[in-house]
Order: sequence, then structure tokens, then C-alpha cells
Amino acid sequence: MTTAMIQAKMSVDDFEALANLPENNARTLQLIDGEVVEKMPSNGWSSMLAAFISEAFVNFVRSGKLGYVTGEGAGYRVGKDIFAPDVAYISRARLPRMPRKGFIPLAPDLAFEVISPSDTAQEVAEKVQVYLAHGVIVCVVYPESETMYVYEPDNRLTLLTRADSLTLPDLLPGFSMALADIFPVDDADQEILS
Amino acid sequence: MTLTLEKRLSADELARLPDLVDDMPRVYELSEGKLIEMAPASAMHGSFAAKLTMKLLIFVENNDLGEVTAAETGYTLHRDPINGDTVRAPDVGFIRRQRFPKGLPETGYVPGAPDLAIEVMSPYDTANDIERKVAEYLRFGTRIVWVFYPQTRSVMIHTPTRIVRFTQADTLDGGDLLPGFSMALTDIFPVEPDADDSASA
Repeated sequence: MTTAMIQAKMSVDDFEALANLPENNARTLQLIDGEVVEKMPSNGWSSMLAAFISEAFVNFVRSGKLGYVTGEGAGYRVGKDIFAPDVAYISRARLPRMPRKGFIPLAPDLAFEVISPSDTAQEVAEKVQVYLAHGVIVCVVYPESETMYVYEPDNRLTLLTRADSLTLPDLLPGFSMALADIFPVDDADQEILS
Repeated sequence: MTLTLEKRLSADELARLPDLVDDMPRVYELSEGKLIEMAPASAMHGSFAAKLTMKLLIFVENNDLGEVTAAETGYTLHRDPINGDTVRAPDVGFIRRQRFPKGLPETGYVPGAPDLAIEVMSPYDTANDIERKVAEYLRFGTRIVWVFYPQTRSVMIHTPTRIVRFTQADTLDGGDLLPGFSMALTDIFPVEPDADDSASA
């Protein structure tokens, strides 16, 4: 967080041009409050949890032709920011076609952020704040404590633990994801799951 | 920021640390016997915590409800000879009079968890650390935890049964723990350091 604050805030257009440069091909860049923030490769465990979450959504969303699920790295325009949630869902009603190029020009309907050890509490709070201001349901996943905080734009906030299931009655009626399915029990269980 | 030690410490050993080890200028917490270093607070953090302490202290004294503790006061949340003790130091703490009718102990940390714990987030606090800390408070008896995020001007209110997120327009109350207490968040959050989207003319 030692970013120099002197430079002017970058626009989404300038950011998109920067992100599309060949040398930035392999990087996941985000635009947060006018600053370019690189998302570093996440640890294997967090990424594995994100994959389990994707799995639950991809099956449900594709079979109902409801919209699109994206994995780590997809850029969404959220107000003046470009965020790259670890997993996200956007409905077909809001995004009739997934663009083949460029960022998704809208905020997702639902975003998952899986916490890494280096994420600061403030960064997470800021991101949640921006998501909520743009109508996004945000699920913040803490792999260490195996909990999930579900923030909804109407200020509802729910804490889920291993014994609970995530349901989204307004957004995806009928969907249910048991948290026990996304938090592996131990190393032996991991082998079974993989 | 965790110091690596082979041995898990007890609350009593934590209290004696400055005598046991040379050059121990820092303050530490203990999470299941593991040392967690607390760096000196930033200017903004310190003044914010001071303001909160004052508001809470005035209310608690006027109503004779109990004791308010300032930053760095240790609370022995839990003693566990096997997994290690847990000692936490909230930025502001409150303990009901009923728990210590004759006042707080003269030596040592406060036995047990604060009834209200207040934490103010600094730029370097990690999401994992605060999540763990809040969970420990609630598990060991704290009834309300307020986590202030000065940068986003938001507060997370955690109780054993629910969590609420407040923003600048809201007013915090003390629930059953501090009946009658109220604090408008506009009074407590610092004036915006840089013009916000909405504020820029």
C-alpha cells in the first residue's frame, strides 16, 4: 500500500488500453479508485475453493440458461472501477451475450472474493462498499476460518459456516450450495474430492 | 507480523515477557498461545480510538455501568493449557459493573472477555486477522463487537446471533448492553481526506 498518490486517477478507457497491451497479457489488473492494482496469483488452496464454488454455480446456471459464471481473472466494470472477482455470476437478463473481447461492461449480479493472507481488512471493506453501491451481492470467503459473509445491497448481512448452505432466493431461486462442499475436511478428503 | 516461537505461551508468561526477553518494546496479543505483534498505532488510528474511548467513557461513567479500558489493555479471553491461552487487547473495551462489583483487578490482565470490544482498522490489518479476532471475542463471551473502518466510514456490528453493517448515515446504539447509548457516525468519522465522487464540485 505504498502507492504514490500524486498521479491523476486513471479512467476506465485508459485502463483498458493499458490492460490490453501485449506485455500485460498474462497479468490480472484491476482498477480500484483510479489506481491500477495487480491481482497476484492466489495460493492453491484459495483457488481450489474458488473452483469448488464455480462448480456449484456453473452446473445450475448453465442447465437453466440463466446467465454466465466467470472464474478468476474476469474483469467487470463496477462503477468507475474494474474488479476481478474470484468467481462471479451475471444474469442473461442483464448481459444478453458474453463479450469475446474486453472487460464485461457491467457489474456482476453476484461476486465471490476469496480472502488471501495478504488481503487487508480495509481493501476488502472498500471493495464490498463499491460492490454494494452497484447492486452486487458479495460473498467474502475466509478459507482459514471456513466462513462466508454474504453482503446484500439492501444491507442484509449473513454469516455462514460449514453447517450452512448458501441460497439466493431472489437472484437464483432454487439454488443451494452447502458450505461443507466447498471447504474440504482434511488432506485425505482433498484427495477424494480431486 | 507473527513472531515465531517454538513454545506456546500462557497468559501469565505473556504478562512477564518484558522481563524474560530483552528489547521487548512492543505490545503483543496471544491467540491460542501464538504471539501476535501489535505495531504502534498510526496517528489517525490513535486519535480515532481516543474519540471513541471518550464517547463511551462519558456514557458509562454518567450511568455507572462499569469500566472502559483504553487501547492495549489485555483481556484473558481464554485459558487453555493444551492449545495455549488467548489474550486480546481491543482498541476500546467495556466491562459491565456486575462482573467486577469491586473494580478491576489491580494486577494482571482483565480476566475474561470484554462485554463490548471495539476495534479500529488500520491500513495494515489483514482481513484474516480481524475475522479471527472477532470470532474469538464472540466465542469467549463478548456480547457486541464494533469494527470501525475509517477509510470507508463503515462499521461492522457483530453479536453472537447477527451481523450488521452500518454506514455514515447510521446511528450506533448500545442495545441491551448500553441502553440509551447512541452515537451518530457522522460525529465520529473524520472529515473526508480527499473529495469523494459526490462531494467534488
